[in-house]
Amino acid sequence: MNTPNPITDLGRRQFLRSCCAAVGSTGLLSAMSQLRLMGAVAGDGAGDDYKALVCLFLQGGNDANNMIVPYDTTGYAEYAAARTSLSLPRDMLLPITPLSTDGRSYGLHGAMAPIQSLFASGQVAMLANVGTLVVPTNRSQYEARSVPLPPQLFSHNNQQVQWQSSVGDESFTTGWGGRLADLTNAFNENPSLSMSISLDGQNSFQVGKAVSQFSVNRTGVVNMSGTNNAVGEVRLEALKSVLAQEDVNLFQTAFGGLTKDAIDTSALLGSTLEAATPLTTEFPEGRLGDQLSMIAKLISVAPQFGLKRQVFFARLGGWDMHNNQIDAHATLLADIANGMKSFYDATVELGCQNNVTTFTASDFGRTFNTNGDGSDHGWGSHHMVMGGAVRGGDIYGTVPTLEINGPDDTGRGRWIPTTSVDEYAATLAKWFGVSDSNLPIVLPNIGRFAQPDLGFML
Amino acid sequence: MTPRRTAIAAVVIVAVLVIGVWRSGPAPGDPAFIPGKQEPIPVTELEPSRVAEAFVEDPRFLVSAEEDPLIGLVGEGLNQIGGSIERDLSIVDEVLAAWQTNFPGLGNPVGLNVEITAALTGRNKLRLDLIPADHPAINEAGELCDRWGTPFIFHQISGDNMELRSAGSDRLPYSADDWVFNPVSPLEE
Repeated sequence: MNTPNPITDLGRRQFLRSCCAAVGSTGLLSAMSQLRLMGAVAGDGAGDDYKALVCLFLQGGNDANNMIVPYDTTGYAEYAAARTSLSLPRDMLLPITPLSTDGRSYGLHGAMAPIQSLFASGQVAMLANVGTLVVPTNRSQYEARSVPLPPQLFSHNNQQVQWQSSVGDESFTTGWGGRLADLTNAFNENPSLSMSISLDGQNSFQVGKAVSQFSVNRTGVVNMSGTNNAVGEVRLEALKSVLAQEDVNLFQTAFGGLTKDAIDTSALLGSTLEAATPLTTEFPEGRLGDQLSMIAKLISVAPQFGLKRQVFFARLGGWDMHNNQIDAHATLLADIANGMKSFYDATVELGCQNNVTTFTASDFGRTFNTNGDGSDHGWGSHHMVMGGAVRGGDIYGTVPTLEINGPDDTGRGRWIPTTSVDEYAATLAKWFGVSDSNLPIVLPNIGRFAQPDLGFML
Repeated sequence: MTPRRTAIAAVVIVAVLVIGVWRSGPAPGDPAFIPGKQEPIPVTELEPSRVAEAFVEDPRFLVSAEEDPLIGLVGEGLNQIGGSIERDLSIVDEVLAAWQTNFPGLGNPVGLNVEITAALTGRNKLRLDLIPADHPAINEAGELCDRWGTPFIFHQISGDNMELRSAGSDRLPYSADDWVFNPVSPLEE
């Protein structure tokens, strides 16, 4: 006689009921887990003050070899010999004096005078040779492929995603900014606006599980087209009424609710921004200046939305300079330097310069030698961190040996990163209020690297 | 001719036409081909050092149809005498597509030309050579070259989207006579 098997003899309806129960349990457990984590973060007691993190993504791959340049006679001569047509004249460089020294001296690109002054006054720090890594890697390991390497190194989209997720060896699910927001949203008091705001559309950095990214235009909130007149207002109210209807399909109901919330939030944010006291700080005209200006305005109204933690994302494209690099790079670096200086001044005007930290990120660095009129895709690259809470005036990490086929090179001056994105991000996350024990939630691979705190934040 | 023979002849003719169209790759007017840069720079506006004379095709990098080491393989016809750069670029793209078929989920080979060429000539987990290591299109440095002897430029936009560039007859990359093959879309910025 056959004994009924409770698994194989499961009826269709019983199977579906079990599945639904399992899915429901998973969701409940996930929510409970999220609440527990948020509670743990709130318990860290670091959420009494306001803090904002601003990611400035240089899309296309910044050639930081010309952002921080060897300035001592020997170092400059080697640089000029290797970079040939891409080398900058020494007398155009802006010398800097880092607090610590590696025996070499450095200068900044001539277009970065505002950054030179912020570095000198201690509001900007430089991070040397940061990049995506699965594990710490040296040249012999790279050549023998004896350690896992970030998948699709040197590919734009993949490296952008890996920089923004900091989990290069797994398929993308969330960005580290999104995970940071999920974890620290507990600091916010009944927020009526997402703490995660993008100034340049959707991005991987802010993809989280609980906190959704909210997009704002460079010039203000994103309004639905055709709603800015009397007829449009009637049309908008009708649409909101339709969206508020409950549907038998839960997805449709949820979608309608989210869309209506977005419309309402946009309207509230728009009116709040209009009523806000205008900033007197002037920003440079252009894509980046507009984005940073809008972030400053959003920070100024954060208390009205119950926000004590905010993560912003701004982006400037055009850095993929395979040709015509010298002039175009100078233009973009000037945009960045002027924009960052104005943004810092705006935070001073708002009295929150110690509460706002801006950091740069990019696909990758670029080859040290030229392809003739530009450079090609590299790996490790230098970055900037700015704010009143930054231990500025110093270069953190290790500037690579700038030698083609040298110990840090994988060919043509593609530097193996000496600091991982994980370490860079972890240092920022700790400042943002994440405890050591919670760091792996934001940076799952941080345990593979030596320095979860690089020391550049107070 | 019997109806059976007529039908067979018709099938053969259709098959030949289909294969011919399929193998000829995109035509120069195809959107996948972008002659020169996205926004071509008029030669008169280029720096004098970047204006070069046009070179003839370099016979060292060419192969005759009879001796093509890629005969029967996906890359057949690369740098063939009498061929065209448009066809060469689409052949390289087909080789990369074959790579993706053999290494599903891993994306294109990455790195410098020499690294990508090494991967395509057998330095991979399957020791699969999609291009023979002794193909005339490969120079002494191990780089895959165009019919003028200049290494192709592999622009890695994403794991499965590789923009291919030939420096053209002036052998100067990123100049007005470049040929660019972009199978999907330009880098979005």
